[in-house]
Amino acid sequence: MKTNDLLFSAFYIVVLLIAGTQLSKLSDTNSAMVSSKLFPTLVIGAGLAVGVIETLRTLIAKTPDGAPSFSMVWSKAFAARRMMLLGVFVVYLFTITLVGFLVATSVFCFVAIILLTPKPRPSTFLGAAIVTAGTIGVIYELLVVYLQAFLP
Amino acid sequence: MYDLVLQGAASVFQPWPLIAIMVGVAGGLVIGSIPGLTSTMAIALLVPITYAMDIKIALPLLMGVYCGAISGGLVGAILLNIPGTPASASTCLDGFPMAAKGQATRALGLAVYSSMIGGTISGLALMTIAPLLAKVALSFGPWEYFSLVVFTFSCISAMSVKGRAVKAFMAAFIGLALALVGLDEASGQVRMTFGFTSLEAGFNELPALIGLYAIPQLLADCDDIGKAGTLLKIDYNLRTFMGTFSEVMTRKRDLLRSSFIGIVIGILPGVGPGLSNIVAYSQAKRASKHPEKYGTGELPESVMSPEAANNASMGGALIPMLTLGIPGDASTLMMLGAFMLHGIDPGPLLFRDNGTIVWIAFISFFVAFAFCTVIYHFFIPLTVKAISVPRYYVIPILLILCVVGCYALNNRMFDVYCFLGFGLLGYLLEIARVPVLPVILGLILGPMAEKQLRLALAFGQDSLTPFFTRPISGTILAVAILSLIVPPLLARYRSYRRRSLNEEIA
Amino acid sequence: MMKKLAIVLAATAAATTSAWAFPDRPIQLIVPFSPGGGSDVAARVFQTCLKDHFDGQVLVKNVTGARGKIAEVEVRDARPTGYELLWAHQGMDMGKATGRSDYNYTAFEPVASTVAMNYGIFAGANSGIDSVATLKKDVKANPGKYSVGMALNGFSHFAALDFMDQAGIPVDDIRVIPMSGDKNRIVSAIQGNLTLVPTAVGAAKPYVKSDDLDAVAIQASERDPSLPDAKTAQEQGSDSNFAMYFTTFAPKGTPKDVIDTLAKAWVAAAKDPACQAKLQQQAMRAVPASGEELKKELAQRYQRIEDLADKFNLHTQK
Repeated sequence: MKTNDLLFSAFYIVVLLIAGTQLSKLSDTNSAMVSSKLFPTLVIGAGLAVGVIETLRTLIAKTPDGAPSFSMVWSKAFAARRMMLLGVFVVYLFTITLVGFLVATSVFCFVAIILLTPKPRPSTFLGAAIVTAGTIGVIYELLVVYLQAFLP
Repeated sequence: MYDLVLQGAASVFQPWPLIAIMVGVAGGLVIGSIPGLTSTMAIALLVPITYAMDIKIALPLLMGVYCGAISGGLVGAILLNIPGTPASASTCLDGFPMAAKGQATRALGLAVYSSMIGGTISGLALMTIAPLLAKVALSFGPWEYFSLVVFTFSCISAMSVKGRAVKAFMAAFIGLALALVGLDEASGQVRMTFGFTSLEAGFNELPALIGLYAIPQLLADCDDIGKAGTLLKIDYNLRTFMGTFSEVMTRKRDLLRSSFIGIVIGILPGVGPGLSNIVAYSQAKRASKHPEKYGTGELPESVMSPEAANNASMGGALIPMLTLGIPGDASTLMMLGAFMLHGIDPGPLLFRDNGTIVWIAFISFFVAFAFCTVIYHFFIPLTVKAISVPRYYVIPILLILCVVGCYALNNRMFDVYCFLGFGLLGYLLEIARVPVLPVILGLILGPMAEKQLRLALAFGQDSLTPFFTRPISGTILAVAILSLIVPPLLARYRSYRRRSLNEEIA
Repeated sequence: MMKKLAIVLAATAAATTSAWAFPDRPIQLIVPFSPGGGSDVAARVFQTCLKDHFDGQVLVKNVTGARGKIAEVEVRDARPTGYELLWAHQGMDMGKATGRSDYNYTAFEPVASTVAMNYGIFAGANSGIDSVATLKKDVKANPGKYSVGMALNGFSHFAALDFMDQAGIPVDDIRVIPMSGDKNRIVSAIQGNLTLVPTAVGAAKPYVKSDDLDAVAIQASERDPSLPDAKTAQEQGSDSNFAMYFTTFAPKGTPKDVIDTLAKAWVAAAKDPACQAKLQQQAMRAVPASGEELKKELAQRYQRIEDLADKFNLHTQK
């Protein structure tokens, strides 16, 4: 599990370093007593310090017993079904602006239900269609008609 | 004063206001319990509609929704491990493990009854000592606020698994760094945007919260599809549910402590329920004789403390709003707008000029809690049924609702993309076994810390001494530092004693 | 629902057959600040006024962030059909003048300006400052003792600078404390940590009435009816005139007849006495202007902002 912790530390330090590159772009406002640079510098400085210390500690420390192994965690995290759902969802988000919320949502809802169902049968399609229609109907009725809200 | 109370009561206890509260509470509960739909969204959508209503109906309705939606967060937190609002973020920590053990009813019962008690205590405080509490709120300068932020930050150590506290702090620093993105409101400088205009608004904490919790959890839920028996075993029956009330009453000390924390934090404008539940949870853990059992869902007080505190904060948050006209959070800000559009000036004179309105608010708040508790007894069985719907239906619908909820907060697709981005971040953190709660805490605390630090330094002419010399600020800082240092030392001492005892026996 | 749909359909059909196709669906009036704030309240009050003068539906949509820039950019880049309008104040021009953004009001097609909110300079009651004269005297006696809270390069900053410029108070003698939000400034002033609060009259009103704040000067040519005892800056010998004007903008390239239809309705609504009464209740006033007259006013206002930014060297990011 050490590998995972080290990967996290690396990710963390990289994120803060990227943030740190933006610090130099900040100017000290001439009319302010306390600049808008102070706090970001504090946060990123302290954050990096904590990160480096923890990385060193992880390197020295023994692996605690009972922690799940590296390969197990990652194969579970990237299981086919999870990635499939995530993929469909990402595609869905980016089609909303292209084809409109109602169309994109109906397609996503329908497709996702069918993909997630373990053994699709003809009845699955019917169920998916009913659930989709119901969801869209409720959202539209409630938000647009009653609450005068806006849909994406 | 008494005739004002009576007038207020007389105008609340009419059919229409009561129906308004009931509808508000029920709607709020539904919205609050569905992950993705937040109380802020509910109020944002509702406030414009109330402009057209009579204030005597609009106000009870808003109070009902406010109570219902924040309280409803516990259902999502316990049954799905996705908190509906930041207010129930720490309810997840023990509520979900308890439910996963097959004790969903117990967890829900504990949460509901402790909510009720926390809310009632704060309602009483609201009615009896509101002006006094308002004075306390006004005595909080930037020094005190900043110390409080430091203290809340120190609570992270108490919330994390043994040996991984530093990892939790790292997560908090990620949150703090993300909070820096965007326009700095006070100085007018744009920071960390890498030149993107859409980043100038920064990250909104609610899409972040929903993303961080919902996406990892819903992806993980995919594994359960098609496997029998991995779903939550629901053992709901009304007797077990109501039986938890006596269990709640066995933990009076935790209830009182959490309610007190909730009220005190609630009355400070801008802090509110989102932080009080975290502070209450960590204080309960620190005071507990079995801190190692926190996070496993065994102890009743670990579920009760955050819920008592967040409900107590709601009443607290109304105090600065009603007595000083100062909004505590996005929800109370919108309610203030509703007041203004009804021609009522929220401000220090509200009590004097529109005393009846204030009492309508107070009494509606109380009634809303009563309704809330009653409605829960019918609502919980429904949610339990909803949970047992096959996951392949639930997951897509919840994702869609999250999208709608994130969009409706600010009518921007950017927030929906943030939801996805934070979801991926949350997924990575989950893989690394790092908690996501500190990220949210960092996002909320970052801007607050910066604002108060800047003001404290500016008002105090760049001097740091007031942080320590001002009595309240100094006390809070001292407690924060002690709470970071003492528990590890105590643990070391205990293990040392145990070892020496063992040696003696041997 | 079906009935509503039928009405909408009928209306659409009627509209398309007539020469006027506009408006055939609801118009979004985009408010760049959050629900409950001054901008939002102004827009929503005006929305109710429009009902009698405009036969289309106007919906208020809040898009917040980056002091309004997010909403401004959204409308600027929207399709110029007149269905997406912006409800902006001079904050947009201040963004350009200080180099925070690269556009000002000229990137839009102005429809009409309708509502204005008076601004003023207020002081904490325990500071003992209650007029321009006492302020001048005290600042001269103790340079560096008094402070003013403002959101740098934002509306409150420009309003305060305009006042100090006109009143002849040296800016360097007052400590500038960067802080945003009317209520934050007011609380700090009540606590005694801050001396001067530039804020909208409506926001300060309840606190002046409860004697927590004193009005130093109202930055308008006439006294504000909601605080009739507060003197204007002009009365006290400094010609500071700085109100927050809410102007409705359409994207550049919106057809002229659409703009004219909107402007006519907007101005008619603002001239309605019932509407003016509603606005006054919120410490706002109606300032109907459209067409060339409006363009001239916008240019004047922008010029003053540029001048102040030049004079006080606010081009930090240019």
